[in-house]
Amino acid sequence: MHDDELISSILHGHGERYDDIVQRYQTGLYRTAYYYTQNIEDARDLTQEIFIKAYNHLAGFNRGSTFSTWLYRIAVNHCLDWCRKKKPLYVEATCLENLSDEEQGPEDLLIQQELTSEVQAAVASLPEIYSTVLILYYFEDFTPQQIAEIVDAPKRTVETRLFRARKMLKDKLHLAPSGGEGHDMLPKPKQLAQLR
Amino acid sequence: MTCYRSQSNWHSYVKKSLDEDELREMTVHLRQCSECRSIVSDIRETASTFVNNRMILIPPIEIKLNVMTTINKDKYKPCTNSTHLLEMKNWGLSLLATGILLFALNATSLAPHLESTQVSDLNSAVGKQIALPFTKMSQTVHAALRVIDSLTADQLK
Repeated sequence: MHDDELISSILHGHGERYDDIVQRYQTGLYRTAYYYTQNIEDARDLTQEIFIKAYNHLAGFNRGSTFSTWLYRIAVNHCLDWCRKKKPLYVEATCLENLSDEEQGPEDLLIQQELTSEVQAAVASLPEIYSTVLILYYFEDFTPQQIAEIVDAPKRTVETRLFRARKMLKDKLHLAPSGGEGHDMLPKPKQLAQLR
Repeated sequence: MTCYRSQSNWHSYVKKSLDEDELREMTVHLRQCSECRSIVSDIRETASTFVNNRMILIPPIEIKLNVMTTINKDKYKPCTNSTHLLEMKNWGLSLLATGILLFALNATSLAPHLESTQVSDLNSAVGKQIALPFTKMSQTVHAALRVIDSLTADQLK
């Protein structure tokens, strides 16, 4: 069932259908919340709060716009509020079991995990306006026009932020001291080389 | 950066979220401009890197459970017709009662300049007016009973 039909049904009194909305968006929202919070407990709490907030304000959703854009707008604002109120106590390494590529061996998985953590930490360390556009564009697959609606900024500004964010991220990954003196000598997977 | 289009909508271009004319125009430009080709290539490579490094986080099951137990599922249930009518009826009656009360209060506010005897006269006059239909009804009933009595007496004879 399409989002609009589900929303219409919920607004006509079928509150139990919200279950489908949660099912549909929980992975993306949880991941987005995780990028801001850097730990799974806070990401879980934030995701729940976002869904509850969205449900309580569902009557205010303009049917002419896209539901995912509206939901992510609530999510991003909620995450940014959280960031302003509370700084993370620790940065949690992504758990091995969260990376579910069964094709990889344990060593590849470790390298993959290291890369993921490195990129994740670099994204999280950027100023909010840049990390937000990066998360939405590259991880959540939104277009610049949709991001403009989510962050309430002109599309042109989003394009500029994406350019700058990418440059800043490149600089961060160049400077990241994660392997000591011999770090540059370590065989780096092609993916990271592409970013650098 | 030397190309005037190097700051263009290349991120939108990569996601193909532009109108057809603009897409075509930018594609033509790309064929001629190595600087812009390099930008697009960079964006694509970054996207590919990010996709490969995207965390595959499995949301815990309690998210859905907690959300569904917390929200009020009846929040958007429309009012049923009978409930709505009952509500309207109650409103109507309340308004009527308020109207009568206000009328009574206004009527008493007119009274202070009347003497107490005048008030009692007024009361008795109102009482007579109210009693009038009942007196007439009573007289009619008595007359009817008298006629019935006389008819029954004639039959007995």
